[in-house]
Amino acid sequence: MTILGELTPVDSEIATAFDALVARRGRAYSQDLLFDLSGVHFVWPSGLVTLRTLLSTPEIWSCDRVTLRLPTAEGCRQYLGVAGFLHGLPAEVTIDSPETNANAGTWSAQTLLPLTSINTLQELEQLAHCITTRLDEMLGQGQAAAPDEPWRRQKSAIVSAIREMCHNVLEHAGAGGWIAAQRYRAKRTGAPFLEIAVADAGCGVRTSIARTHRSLGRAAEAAVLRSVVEQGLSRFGTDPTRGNGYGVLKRATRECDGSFFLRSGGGILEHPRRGPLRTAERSVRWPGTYLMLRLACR
Amino acid sequence: MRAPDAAVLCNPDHASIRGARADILERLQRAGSGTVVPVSLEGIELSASCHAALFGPVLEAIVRGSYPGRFVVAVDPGARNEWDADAAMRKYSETVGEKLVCVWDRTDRCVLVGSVDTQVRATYDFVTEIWQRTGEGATARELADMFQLTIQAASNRLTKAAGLGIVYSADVESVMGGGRQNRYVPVQ
Repeated sequence: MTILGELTPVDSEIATAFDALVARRGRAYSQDLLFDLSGVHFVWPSGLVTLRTLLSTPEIWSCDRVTLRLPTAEGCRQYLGVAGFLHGLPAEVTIDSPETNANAGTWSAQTLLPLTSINTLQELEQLAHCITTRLDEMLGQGQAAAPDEPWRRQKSAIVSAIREMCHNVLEHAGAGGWIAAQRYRAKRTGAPFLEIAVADAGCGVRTSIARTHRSLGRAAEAAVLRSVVEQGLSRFGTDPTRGNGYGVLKRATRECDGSFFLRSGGGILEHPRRGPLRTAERSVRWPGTYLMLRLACR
Repeated sequence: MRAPDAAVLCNPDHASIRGARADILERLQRAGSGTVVPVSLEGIELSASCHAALFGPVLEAIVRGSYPGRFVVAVDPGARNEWDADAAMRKYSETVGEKLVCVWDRTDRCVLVGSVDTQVRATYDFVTEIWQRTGEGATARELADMFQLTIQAASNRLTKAAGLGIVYSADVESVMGGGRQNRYVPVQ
């Protein structure tokens, strides 16, 4: 599987490459699978978490071994190392490091959160505790300084969104997952923003929600995503203490002029900065769920 | 609320949440009229679901009249929980079909979180301002004069705010020309 350009599952070309990989499951078994990232010149957190999820899910490979060919762009390869992507890969994954290319990525970035696994509530609670401190460190707000109100609200929104994204994985996926977050400056405007991404290889939103909303078990996955996001449905039924996750995400996007992109199985949902929700259905089912959130920040 | 080992709680079923909720309800049950029960969140951050589990049933019981004349205030130094609590209370309100509001003491000031509309917020802010300035409660006449309302409309707003548990009638006094009026003070 060859990926070019920017490593993110959201771009249509990359999504097609991932779809081809997933569709490969169940076909004739082969001895080796190559993930060729040599042509990648930029890596987003969403690419990190989705690719790592695929690499950590041997049952979808339809082969014994995987070779991961790293980007020739040195900046990209360095980032993969700094972001923790190369640590703890399954033993079946072999790293192929090509000759270096001194061209670094054209974006400047700060790591809010390197690639981090989410497997337990304790890990999540520890993570949430660290995020607040990390935000203050990164964005130059010392702990002694009283935060101004707009920044205090933005920070609360960011931390809450991360907490809910991770908690969704633990509560609903039936499997652990990954999270990563970076701060960037937009090329055209220079405006700072965060990309936060989570991914898991769990049961998917439809399977989870259908435990209590049985009729949704037969609905198209894109329609299920829309119902869950718009109505705040929860697999805990009518329990008023549950179903806060996507409401917090929507509120965070309003607070921080942001957007999010969600894929689960064959369903895709986009919550843009402006305009209505958009959904789409793909014939190839992604093995699990991933969510990419972008929020303006200082 | 007693903080468990972690400073952040994400599990609404955690024993600390259940215990704290039970403790608040018991204190409300035992308290006399005019009592404000503080709920300290110092040193702890709760997820939205935890706020919903902790405050939702308590505020619901207050709004439905289970504890007349008794109130809660969340004490949240640094306002680390305000954003999540507001999100949680709004969602909870939508789900149960009752407007739920909580007074939130951030140390620098008290704000309202939850299903708050502009009118409710303005009423609370007015009552607070009068009380801080004069040491006395605000009347419907004063609210009517401030916002150019009829006495009845102003009285309705104060009654509504009292029903939400954010102001209470601390005094009843006679008025010139006959009749009586309530003086409302903010829950803080």
